[in-house]
Amino acid sequence: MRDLDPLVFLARDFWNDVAKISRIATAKVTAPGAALWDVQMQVCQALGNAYPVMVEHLLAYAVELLGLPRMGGGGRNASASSKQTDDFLLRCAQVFELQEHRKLEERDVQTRGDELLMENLAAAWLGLYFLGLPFSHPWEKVRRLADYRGGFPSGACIAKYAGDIYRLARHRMRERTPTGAQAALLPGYTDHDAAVLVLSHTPLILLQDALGFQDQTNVTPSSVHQLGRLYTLLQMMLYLRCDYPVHFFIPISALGQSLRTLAGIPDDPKAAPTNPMRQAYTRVRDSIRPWLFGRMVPTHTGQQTVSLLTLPSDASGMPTCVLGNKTGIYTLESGDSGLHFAGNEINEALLASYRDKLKMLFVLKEDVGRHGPYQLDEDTRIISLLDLNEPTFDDLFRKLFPDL
Amino acid sequence: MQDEPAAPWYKIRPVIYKSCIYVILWLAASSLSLNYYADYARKDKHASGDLLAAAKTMFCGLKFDKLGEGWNALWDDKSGTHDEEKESPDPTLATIQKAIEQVGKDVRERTHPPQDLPNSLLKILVVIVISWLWFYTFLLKNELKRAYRRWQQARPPFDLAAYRKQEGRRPIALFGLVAPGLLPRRLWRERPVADLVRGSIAWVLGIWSLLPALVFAVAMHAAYEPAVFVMALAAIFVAAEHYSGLTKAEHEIKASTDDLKRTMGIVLDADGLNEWRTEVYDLYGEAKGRIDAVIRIFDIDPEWWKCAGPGDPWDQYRERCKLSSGAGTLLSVLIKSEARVRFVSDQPLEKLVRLRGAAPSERKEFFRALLGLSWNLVVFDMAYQARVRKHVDRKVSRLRIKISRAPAWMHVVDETVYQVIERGSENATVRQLTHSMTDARERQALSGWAKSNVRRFAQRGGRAEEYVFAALRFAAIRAQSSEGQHLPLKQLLDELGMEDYLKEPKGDFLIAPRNVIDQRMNRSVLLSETTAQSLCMAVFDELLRCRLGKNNCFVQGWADPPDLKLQFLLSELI
Repeated sequence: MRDLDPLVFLARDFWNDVAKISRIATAKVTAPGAALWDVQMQVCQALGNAYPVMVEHLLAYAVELLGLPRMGGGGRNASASSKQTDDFLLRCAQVFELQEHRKLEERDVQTRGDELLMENLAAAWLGLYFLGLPFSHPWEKVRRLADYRGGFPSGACIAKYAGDIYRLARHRMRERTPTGAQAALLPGYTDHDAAVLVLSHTPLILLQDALGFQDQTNVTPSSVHQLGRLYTLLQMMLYLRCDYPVHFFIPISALGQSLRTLAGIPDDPKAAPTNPMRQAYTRVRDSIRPWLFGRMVPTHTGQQTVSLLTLPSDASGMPTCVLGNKTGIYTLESGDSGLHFAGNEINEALLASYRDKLKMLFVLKEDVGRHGPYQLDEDTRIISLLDLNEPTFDDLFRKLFPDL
Repeated sequence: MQDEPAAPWYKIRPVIYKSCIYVILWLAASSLSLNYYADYARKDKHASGDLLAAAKTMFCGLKFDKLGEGWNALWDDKSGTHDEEKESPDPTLATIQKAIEQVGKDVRERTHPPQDLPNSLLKILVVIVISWLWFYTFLLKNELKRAYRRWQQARPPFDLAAYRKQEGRRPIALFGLVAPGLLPRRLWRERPVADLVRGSIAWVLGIWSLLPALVFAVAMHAAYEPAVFVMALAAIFVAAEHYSGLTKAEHEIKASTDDLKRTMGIVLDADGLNEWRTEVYDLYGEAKGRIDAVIRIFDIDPEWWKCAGPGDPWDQYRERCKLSSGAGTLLSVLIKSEARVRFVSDQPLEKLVRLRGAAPSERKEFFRALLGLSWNLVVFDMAYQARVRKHVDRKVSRLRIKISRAPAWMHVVDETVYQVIERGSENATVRQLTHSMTDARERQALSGWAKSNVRRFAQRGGRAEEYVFAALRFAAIRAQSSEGQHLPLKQLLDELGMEDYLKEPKGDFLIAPRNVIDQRMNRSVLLSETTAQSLCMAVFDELLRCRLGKNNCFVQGWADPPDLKLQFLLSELI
């Protein structure tokens, strides 16, 4: 290590810090009865004397990253910029090898340079956020790069964007009236236009295990992606705590697939799951109710719903998306889609179209309401989970997702 | 924007105002001079005929022969002989008596009569009024000339529609020549002859204003050496002429800037930017839809630095904004306007991170940027609250600032688009891109594009409040403040460069031993260092207070204003 560039040391410290922050913050956010509004404070306290040093590391590396040009960008300063980008890629390769004992493949270095830079920047933003210094600059550059390449890479960037939608919605809701949260609690107050609408295939609101999911296709260390999901989770929980309107829609088939993925069962239908996989599957399924009622939505108001869609056709043609009032994001959930991005922001006309599509699901819900929500028969197209009592919930989930 | 005022020659108010003052001064000067003359005539038994007789004698005494005599006397050195002749002894008694009589006569003639107080006061008063009159003579002359020029150049706006209609009725214009009568006729006031009238204004006014001085001068000749008195008058005259020349130059510069702006849509240099700010503020006040802008340097109203009296400076600022009734202060124009405001500003992170080892000039610059941003945030919040109070029954538009990298410097107010290009720190060019666009659709297309451009930058960025809070928190980490302690605002701001800013705050105000606040516009404000520091701190203090007062986190105790703890900053950042 002695003859290495000093920036490599900085990068190494940076990634170590991100991993440490990710560990501490996950423990603080997911702890039972966590004081969510104080999370940044708790992370600072847990870090103790290392806190100011960490802040300096993160900021110094963020400034370095902000000075980097687009990867593989030509132009007049091509030679100077290619030197910079080559150094950056080399640095990434060295650091990832040291940290995760994982080699950056030559193909990744050549084709996923922008992605690497974006995820480095996202890591800087997320790390700084959990240290209580959310300077927008690194994320602003990620968005600029996303504009060039047509979208965000899978993982931390998309998770951060989704978290931002909850955060932005929370700020806007708070601004709407001087009394903020209280106004939203008024009886009979429903505002579908202001509500956050979510169509999710791997919903964090049901699956705590999704937080620690490791996607092998990611090019950067898993700590940043976990931190990204943690940020989404934190913002979602803060939003839910404020009792602001939000509606989650989860297709049953997608939830079943997620359960299998999280249990580590391979996609191949011919490969039979092993015993530990079966146990993991049951464990993940049974952890849904305590997570949903205990942590995510401890108090239920009519403005917040979590619904299962029984017919895949009701959500057909829609990717996983989180839709706010002003902006939204979709993700294709697949690193093997052949595209060089995994999702992008949704604005203006497209946002309106997506929101309309999801709002049509409210009509289904009213139909079901007349027939009684607990009857699972052929006509049932939507199941509102928050309206179910404990035995019915367990019964339903065992019926929908039987033990393997 | 309406580029041409409806009828420029209607700008007659200053002419009337100055004419009235001039008439009053002329009447006062004449009546006082005549009073003095009457006293002089009564006391010294002079008759008015004396004046004519004296003039006659003076003119009779002018002879061509004397020219040669004077010329020779100038070159012949006879001073020695002259003295000798005078000093030659003459022993006879009669001669001595004659000499004594001569001396007595000389003394009588050459000494001034005894001065009494009322008389002196009257003289002082007359001189004051005459000087004043002359100053106003020149000011009025300039004003009349300008008014005359405006009148000469004023024409009803060319009615293109009527012209085309008329054109359509006529068969064909032969060889491209337009028949007379189609184009507006040349008016007599546009001919060179009319310029003579303008030239004669100065003479008529000048001679007219000399009359009271002349009367006074004649009466004064007995009281004092007339030539010395006339010299004093000439000095006043020259001073008045110079003064008028200066004001004229000022007006001419303003007129040519306006002219340039009308023809090119450009305002140049830093002073031009100042001027442009006034123009933009006017536009803000009238804006109905949106104001989208990329801001490099946030201005702080000069009015703010005048709020140095005892008590809360923000209360004083509000009062000042009420008094100025919508002119010149950001708060008043934003309250007046109903537009939605979105500003985008680039605040490089690198500058903040490397602030500790930076040069004083950079630290100063950084702090000024942060101060301007925070000041604008406070004003935006006040404007929003005022809008809410004004329109309780409906939704009011918000005012936001985002931090984002924005390469362009666009300033869009409804459909007016400005582009500002910086050249160095003190020099910039502002061009109104929509200036020559007469087609409404083209204007809409351009302003629409510019708005969406600014919106794109804004969407990528973060909230400015968050940036300021994070910067303060970062300063606290560097200053090793503990989370639970009372927020040491001064220490944090010094960490962010306040000290360096206060050493050289030129442009906003000047540091002086004590506060000197001149109420006139465009006069620099002098502030003591303590006052300046407390004004800077008041900006951040108010921002913290109004943001934490919103109780973002629903956590009791986090927004307790009396004890503002460092950890409370996190409530804005979560």
